[in-house]
Amino acid sequence: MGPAHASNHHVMSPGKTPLVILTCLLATPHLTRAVEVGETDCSLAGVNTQTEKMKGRALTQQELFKQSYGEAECLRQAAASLAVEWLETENLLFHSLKEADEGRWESALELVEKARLQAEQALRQAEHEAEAWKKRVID
Amino acid sequence: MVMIRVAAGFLLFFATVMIYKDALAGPSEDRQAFVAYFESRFPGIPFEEYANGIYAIDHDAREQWQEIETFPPYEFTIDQGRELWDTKFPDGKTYSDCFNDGETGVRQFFPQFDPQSGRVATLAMAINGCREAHGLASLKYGGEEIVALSAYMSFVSRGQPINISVPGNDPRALAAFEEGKRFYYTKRGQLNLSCADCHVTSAGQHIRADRLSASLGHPTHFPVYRSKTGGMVSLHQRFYGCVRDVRARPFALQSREFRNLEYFLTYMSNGLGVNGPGSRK
Repeated sequence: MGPAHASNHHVMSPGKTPLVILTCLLATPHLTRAVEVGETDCSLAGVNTQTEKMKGRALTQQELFKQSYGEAECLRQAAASLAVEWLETENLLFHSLKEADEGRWESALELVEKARLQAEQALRQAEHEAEAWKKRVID
Repeated sequence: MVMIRVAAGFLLFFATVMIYKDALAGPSEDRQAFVAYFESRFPGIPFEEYANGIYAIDHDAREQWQEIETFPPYEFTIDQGRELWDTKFPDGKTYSDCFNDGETGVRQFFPQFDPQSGRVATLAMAINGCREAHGLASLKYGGEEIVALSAYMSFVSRGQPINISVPGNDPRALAAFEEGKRFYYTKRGQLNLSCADCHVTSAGQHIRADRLSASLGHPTHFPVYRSKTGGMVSLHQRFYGCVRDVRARPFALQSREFRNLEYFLTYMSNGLGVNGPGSRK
């Protein structure tokens, strides 16, 4: 079982037509819908989980970490490309790698999950704010 | 059936206009509404007082601030800036050859929209532009020297009313203003706060032991000496700190985002007197 599903929402670059539409699907096969991420490269997954799932074998913690990391990094880059990244997301991912290097998979997965949630929330925030800010303008 | 559709279309259009009319207003209307908001929010505070930032509305802190201003901690920075201002470039020119400053300085005219580059130019950029034109390397934004020069230039301009224009004949200028406005009202970061959440909606309210300042007048007194850090801070460094404090990844000093924010925010303070450099907690 992979980490909780990332958002299926559609994030538009505010007021702009994205130059390139890539998808997090490459990194996150369980996503059902593309996330527009500008020029972000999402080819960081490193694990073809669909193949593993087809074999009916549970993922090892290392494989699960690689999958989760790929997804979180993809979402972080999507947020960064829209200039809406939160402060700690990259740091969380950095520390998750350090934990993974030490073989502390549970801790690594916990950090990567926090990062993924942050990146996802940043994208949701940006999507909401694309219109919501207008209602706050002083009249 | 056609009539119903036409009527529904009109209704939808009207509703959209009503919802977004404020967001779509021009700079002048924005500024009038901005000023009127604070006049209504803090009745009895004269317009010119907003140049004093939080000390316009926090009377206890004002007394401490006035004590500090008796021996201003930024005096050395002004002196340093004056010395830099008067130092000749290798070609024998000085900064005054770049800035047609006269008696009143130029601080009140920055930031300004530069039609040649199509972007907002800040005072810090103009200082570096001057250096480059005379064969000197740019100064590091936020560094001691550029802040000192800015402090001196603000000091020379003290009392001059902020006079920022958004040229109506250049859509790029309006776009820059609108981008700054959007930045100002957009929530960001893990704390999900916009500039306006703190400095409009919650202006005057406590945040821990301090009160939040009103945005009207924010840019008039920068750069400032901050007791908290024991050093001078430029407006963009303050922007950086605010964005970081709401747990969003900050933008670089003099980035397009911060320059456009400065453009919007300074235009909102048109008419207030320059009173930089200042001192703040």
